[in-house]
Amino acid sequence: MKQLEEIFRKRFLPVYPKLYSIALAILGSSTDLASDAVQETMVKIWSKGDELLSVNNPEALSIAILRTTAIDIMRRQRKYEQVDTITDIAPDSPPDHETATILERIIDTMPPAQKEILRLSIFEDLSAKEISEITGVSGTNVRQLLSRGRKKIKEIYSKL
Amino acid sequence: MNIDKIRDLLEKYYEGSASNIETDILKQYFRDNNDIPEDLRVDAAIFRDMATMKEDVALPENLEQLIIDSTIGRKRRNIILWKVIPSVAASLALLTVLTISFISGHERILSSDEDALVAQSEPVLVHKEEITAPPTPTEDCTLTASTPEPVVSKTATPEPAIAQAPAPKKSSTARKASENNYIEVYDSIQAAKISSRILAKLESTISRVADKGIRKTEIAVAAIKDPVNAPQILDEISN
Repeated sequence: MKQLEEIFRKRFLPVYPKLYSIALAILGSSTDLASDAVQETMVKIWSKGDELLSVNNPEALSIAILRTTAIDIMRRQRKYEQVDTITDIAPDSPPDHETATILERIIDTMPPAQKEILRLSIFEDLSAKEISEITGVSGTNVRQLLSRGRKKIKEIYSKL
Repeated sequence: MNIDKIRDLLEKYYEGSASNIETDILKQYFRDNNDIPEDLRVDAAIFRDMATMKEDVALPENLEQLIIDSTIGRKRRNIILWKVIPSVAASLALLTVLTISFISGHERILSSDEDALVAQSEPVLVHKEEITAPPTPTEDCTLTASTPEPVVSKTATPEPAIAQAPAPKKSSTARKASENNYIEVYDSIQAAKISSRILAKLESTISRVADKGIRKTEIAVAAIKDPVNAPQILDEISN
């Protein structure tokens, strides 16, 4: 048990800040939901028990579990039945217009998948492959959505 | 960093094909440089606002402690409780259900008019086993507190619920199947006799189950008070 606790503390617990920003990117700006997602994820990881001793990539495992946990939370919020990718769900959290930056407002007008992908790329240093794994969107589409999103942002900023 | 290199990386960035490292170089450049060429001012503003958006992600202060409390901090105590609680809860639930049905059923039988019993023409549905063989008392305590199947019904004295004797572990589909084991009794005197017999059996079941339930509760309390010897104490429950 002691060994398990040590593995958990050293290898899995330190991932939680990254999980939090990813959760925030996926769930919209609700800090409560993001906290819930992270906590539920860590509980699921902990309950794997001895399996944790042989995990090679704790970060990858944690992010994978966070993804399904975040989708479950969105489902609970939205009561959707069939969800395969994050494109099916739009988190219902328009930014507070008094404090939202222009950037946040622009991103918020975008379709769900693009919104999540852009937020992920801003909050965390994730490769297109990692974003693809988190969102369920193919690598090619991730690149395309990033490209279109970033160009749109530049277009609007150029006019300001 | 060469300014032309920055322009190349920016082009990749807007195509969505810049790697993590390349994006990082761009972020650093715009963060550390105040002297930005005119044609890159818009890009600088975007990268600045993106950095702010990232900084504004504030980790909740208590999150780490919440995580520890719900994982590492939960180990020992709760394992013991999770072994004990199901059997104790099930015993108490069964006891409650049987008591309620016994009390209400018994009162109604005692107070009902004999004429009413004779006069009733609706058939009574009685479980086959009540007529044929004595039912085994429900020793296995896996019933939940949800309403058990009605066994005797459709009379002027509706029983709220009586637990079915066999296998309470069965799912609801199994319970539906066993409804085919009911037969109809038209003689109200016979129905009353059968009801009394059921109630007498319930009475003995309750006292047997109650004793066992109380014993289990005592063992559970002892285990909680003495966590070190809990495994040995808990073994007594299965005996």
